[in-house]
Amino acid sequence: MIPLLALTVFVTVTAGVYLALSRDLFRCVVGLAMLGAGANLALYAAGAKGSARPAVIQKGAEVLADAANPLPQALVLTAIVIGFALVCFALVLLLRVMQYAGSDDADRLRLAEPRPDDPLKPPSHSADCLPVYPREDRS
Amino acid sequence: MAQANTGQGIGRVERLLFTALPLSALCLVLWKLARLELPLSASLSWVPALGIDLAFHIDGLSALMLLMISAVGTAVFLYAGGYMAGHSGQRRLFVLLSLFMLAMIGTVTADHLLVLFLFWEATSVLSFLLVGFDYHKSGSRRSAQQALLITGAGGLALLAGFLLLGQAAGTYRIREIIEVVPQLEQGGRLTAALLLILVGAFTKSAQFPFHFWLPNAMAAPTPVSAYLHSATMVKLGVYLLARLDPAFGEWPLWELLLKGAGSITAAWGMILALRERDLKRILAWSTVATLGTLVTLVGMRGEGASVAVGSLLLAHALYKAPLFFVAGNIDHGTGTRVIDRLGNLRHSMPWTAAVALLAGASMAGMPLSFGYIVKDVIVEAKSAGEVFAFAKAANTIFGAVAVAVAGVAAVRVFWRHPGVNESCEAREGSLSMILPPLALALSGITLGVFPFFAQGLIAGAAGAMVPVPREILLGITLEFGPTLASLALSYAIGLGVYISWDWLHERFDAAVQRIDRLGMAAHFERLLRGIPRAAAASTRFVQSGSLPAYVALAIGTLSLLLALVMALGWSSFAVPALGGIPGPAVLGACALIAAGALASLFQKDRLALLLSAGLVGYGSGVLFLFSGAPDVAYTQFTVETVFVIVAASILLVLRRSGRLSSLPEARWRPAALALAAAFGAVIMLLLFVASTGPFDPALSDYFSETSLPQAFGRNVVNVILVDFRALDTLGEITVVLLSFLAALPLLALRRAGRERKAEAE
Amino acid sequence: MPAWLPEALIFFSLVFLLLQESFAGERGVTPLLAWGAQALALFCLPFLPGEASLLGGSFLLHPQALLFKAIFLLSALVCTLYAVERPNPDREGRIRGEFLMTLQASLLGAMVLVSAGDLITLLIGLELATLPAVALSAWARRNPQSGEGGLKYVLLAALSSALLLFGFALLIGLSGSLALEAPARPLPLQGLVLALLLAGAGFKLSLPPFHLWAADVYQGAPTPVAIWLSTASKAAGLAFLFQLLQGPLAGALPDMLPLLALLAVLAMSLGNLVAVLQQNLKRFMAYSSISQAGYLLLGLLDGWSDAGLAAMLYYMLVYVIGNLVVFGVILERERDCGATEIEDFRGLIRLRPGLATAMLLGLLSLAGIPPLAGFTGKWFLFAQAAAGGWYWVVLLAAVNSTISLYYYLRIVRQMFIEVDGDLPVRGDGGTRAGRIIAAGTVAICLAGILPWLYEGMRGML
Repeated sequence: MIPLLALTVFVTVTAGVYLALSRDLFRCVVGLAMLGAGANLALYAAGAKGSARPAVIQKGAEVLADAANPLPQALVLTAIVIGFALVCFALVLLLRVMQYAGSDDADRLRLAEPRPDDPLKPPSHSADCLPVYPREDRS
Repeated sequence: MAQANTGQGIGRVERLLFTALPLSALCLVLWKLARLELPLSASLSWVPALGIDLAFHIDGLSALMLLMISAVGTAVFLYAGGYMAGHSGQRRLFVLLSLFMLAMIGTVTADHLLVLFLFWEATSVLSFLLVGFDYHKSGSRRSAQQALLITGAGGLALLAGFLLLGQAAGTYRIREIIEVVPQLEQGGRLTAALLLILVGAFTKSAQFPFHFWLPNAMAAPTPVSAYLHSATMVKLGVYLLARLDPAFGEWPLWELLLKGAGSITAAWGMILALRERDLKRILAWSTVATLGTLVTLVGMRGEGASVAVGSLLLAHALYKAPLFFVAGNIDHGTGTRVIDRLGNLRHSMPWTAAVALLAGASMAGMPLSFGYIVKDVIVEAKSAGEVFAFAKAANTIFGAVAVAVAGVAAVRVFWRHPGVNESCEAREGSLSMILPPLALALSGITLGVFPFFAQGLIAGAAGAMVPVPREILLGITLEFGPTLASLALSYAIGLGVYISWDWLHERFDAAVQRIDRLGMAAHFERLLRGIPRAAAASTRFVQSGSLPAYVALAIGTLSLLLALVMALGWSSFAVPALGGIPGPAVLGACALIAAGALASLFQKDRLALLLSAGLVGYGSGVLFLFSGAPDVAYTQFTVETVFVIVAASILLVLRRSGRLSSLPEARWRPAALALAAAFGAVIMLLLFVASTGPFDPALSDYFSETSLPQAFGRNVVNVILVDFRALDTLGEITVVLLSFLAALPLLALRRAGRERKAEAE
Repeated sequence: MPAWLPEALIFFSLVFLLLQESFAGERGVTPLLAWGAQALALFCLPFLPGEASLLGGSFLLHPQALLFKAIFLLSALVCTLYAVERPNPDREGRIRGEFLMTLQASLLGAMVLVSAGDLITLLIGLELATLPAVALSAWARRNPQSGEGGLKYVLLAALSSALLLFGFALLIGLSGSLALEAPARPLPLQGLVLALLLAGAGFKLSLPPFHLWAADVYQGAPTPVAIWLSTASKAAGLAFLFQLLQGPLAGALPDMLPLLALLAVLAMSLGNLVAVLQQNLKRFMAYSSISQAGYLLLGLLDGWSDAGLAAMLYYMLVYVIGNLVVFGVILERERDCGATEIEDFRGLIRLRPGLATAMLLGLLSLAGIPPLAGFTGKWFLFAQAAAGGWYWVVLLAAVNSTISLYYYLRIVRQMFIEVDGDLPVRGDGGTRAGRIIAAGTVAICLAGILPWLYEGMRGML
């Protein structure tokens, strides 16, 4: 069971990270969602020791007999819901950013970042401030 | 600072109130000294948990410093009243000076390293505010910043040094440290402590290689320069060294560094003094030289050297402060301090000329001045402590330049005819600008004639360094001997330097300019300029602005780290139990997940990408369903469905703007794939590691057993979620709810925008 | 007084805000409902039981949790009060019911986080603290920078959340338990778990390499939100780290000290170095806060001790107060003249001397200049690192403090530049924010001189 799950997690995580490293923001979001799914799987795999029967108390019994461990499952469930909320919010935000910027290119999300090719102004003695990036034209 | 905009000077009464502060301190010190009530100690528990006490101890050395602080303080406060008359920032100046004086008093009386450091840094910050007093001048701000950067950095080194010293000695009480340290082994930690403390002291006392800030700090108003940069603050480094001398005195390193740095500073200061044309800067460089001499003397062993430190401290305060006042009076009266433009001032400023003569005589070491006695003591100390003849020769040269500088400050500007420029109309300042320097200069002469007044004081100060008998004799030795010969030689060379000042100036200026480029100030400037460069480079590298780069940086660092930790702990790996062969349903689910994940790598179309990614979710659901977690499975199905719907509807919106396919990107990004696979592999290994651990069923058992009796539920996962962990579930619901609430307005904004656009069309 | 009272107060105020917003409309919302609940909860804290365990051990109360809750509530209270006074809709979005509600939710998450007794509660607390913070950072809808920052924040949050879950998976696999209590014997290979969980904590604390969101988010987010992120959100990251280091990873620290030392030095140096060039004050504060997080880690370097814990908590509190003051001034200036570039602070000493003085003291405290509180805090931290034998780290920290002095002074210099000609906008200023800033400034000065605060914390823990 463990090698199989580990292999599955490997494929999911690799695909997720690969997508997340994309320039395309939508792919990035989907990749992160997939990474989250991989994390849930890993969480589940780590807690899945022992039985594979559902954690349901059988009719007539008072105590849970041989069954899958319920607590890690509760954690997985929580993680699924939270991951979902995060990714959905990311999607909506993505939509909004696309609409004002007209671009879904992650490399163009740099309103405030310095440009990589921005040469530093030579330092001057008289200036009161230190050399700083020139203000960008944002027209 | 808040008072900066009052725009008014302050009244006489307020000025007197401020002046009463140093005056009362002076009276108190004198009274205590006269009644021989030293040493005094006081201690107040402050942070008991860390053993920090507000501990104070006043011995002879502290008393000498206190006397200087309060006496020069009184003079400075009186002088500032006249010098700054009508200046809008006068009250600010007085407040800052008062605070500064308190900080100084705290520094020289503290008996706990941390307390000493606190006051020490307070003097740095206050001197920053005082040097930058004319903050509207760019030069002032720059000088203030330079001074604070150097003394502040030195202060931090000092802090680190104190930490190490305190840890090594097991106490932060200075008196205890002095006793403990000589018995300790001279290990690496103590050496580091020593070096760091030396950096702190050298920065404060403007020793080589941190000497250059002091002349630049002359941008401060004259009362500030006289107080901070000649009489008190710059002496703190010397004070600290003298204070710690009993602890480290026997170390060869201590002696070497102190003598080395002190001598270089003295020589360099003298040379640079010859180069300046600004009276205040000339005085500043000669102060640097004197500080160097003081540090050298502290580094020397023996009783004579200690007595020399004490007397030179006092003498320097008594002649340098008046000379600064003289420079201030000249600046005030003529509007310039450049010596080429000054001359013949004795007619218009007779009282200032008198002060200058008196103080200059002391500085030059003329007989019947306290300076003479000090020179005498120094020559004796050096001839007793130095094996090498050149040290004596160097002493003569330093003395000669001091004579020349005194000549420039006291004689040249007052008596010699001006060169090219006639000095503009000069006028004498008010009484408050003449009396304080006159009093200080006169006491210098008085002590020269009646040196026994200072005997007890100086013996007490020297006693802090070496055990000295109370009955040292400061006297005027007129017998013909090496001392007098050396002094006479000093006078002669000094006279020569004085006469050829302009000629020397030109030579030195040319020579030193070349050295300047390699000098410490230039290095400091380069360092400062280097900071923004390094900053720009690292900004461009780290904060590149590219989101994929950010993700890559985070993932890459983490994978590297994990791999490293795994490699280090390789031996403790256990072979995981492989477990049974999974059933066909689980196998199929895993295949589904893998297929979805792999397929999503190839999709250009966004909808197809979404659907293949959806396979991963649904596959996980199936996996959960068939391996004992039906509730998780149902949640997963629901969530996945909703996610696909949300994403698809967003894609729908995107389609309207024609963006249904992905950005054109290289089909294969090998670097990204390698990183992703590396991370995936690390995680896979992690899972193997995780599977080796035991399972502690305690908590699960609790739920398994109490589920039915207490919560009347047979599905334990559900019971956990809605009964035992209702709060968490509430939180979960809040998370989801909030994300929707937060998302809704975003969508609404979009709609509003579309409507506006439609209206516009 | 029941142990859950502060959480309940915040939760009910959240619900009431929601109801009021739904039924009375946006204008009908009373901010008092938000800050009143926060103030009340803060007031309740001293009367809570010192130790309590609720819900089968998943909700715990202990002195450390109380201290953290005090920090959270304090910064939430100040944020709320700052936010509702004369907001600037263009730069901050609509500061009304929804905003306050979201802030309450983040606060609630942080409070649950410190009281969590097992991994599930911990996860929920952490995410409940994070997600609303993401929403808040994108709040200024008309400011494109806000949306962009928010997007970066949420994507990196999703990443760190996934990494965190991997850490949880490993932890559960190794220990077989979800409880946040120290295991009987140290786990094998717990360094791996710590490394992964540092990703979660590092994201909130903005430690490298998870700090990359900070600059854009601080700059784009409405200033009250930037305050929240730099104070409470950071404290939540620290609390998360503490929860694990006291719980399942109790023995992991000694092996990982070189890593932590490296991380601390990296954070300090990187934050400092990049801060030097910044032109926007909020962005500048982001980098400054990264380096401050580096200093904070020094408290861990002596292994794990009560003294180190107290030192870190004390520094956190001092840092929070300092940031509340400095950001308060930034906010006031932003509302006066609509911008937060450093050059907009030119001549502030003439325009609003009180603000400039507060800024001066706040910045000097952040730089660690005695006798202000920031120095005392740094002293305690440095002493911890030195006690652990990490002299080179102390030395580098001292060097970094010097560099930080350099760039803090840059701002001070701007404030003291005389302006002639076109004077920047002179605002009248909000009285309430002014009073808070003044109180914070006094606190900075007093906390440095009076050590009772530290003593009290030390005694509580």
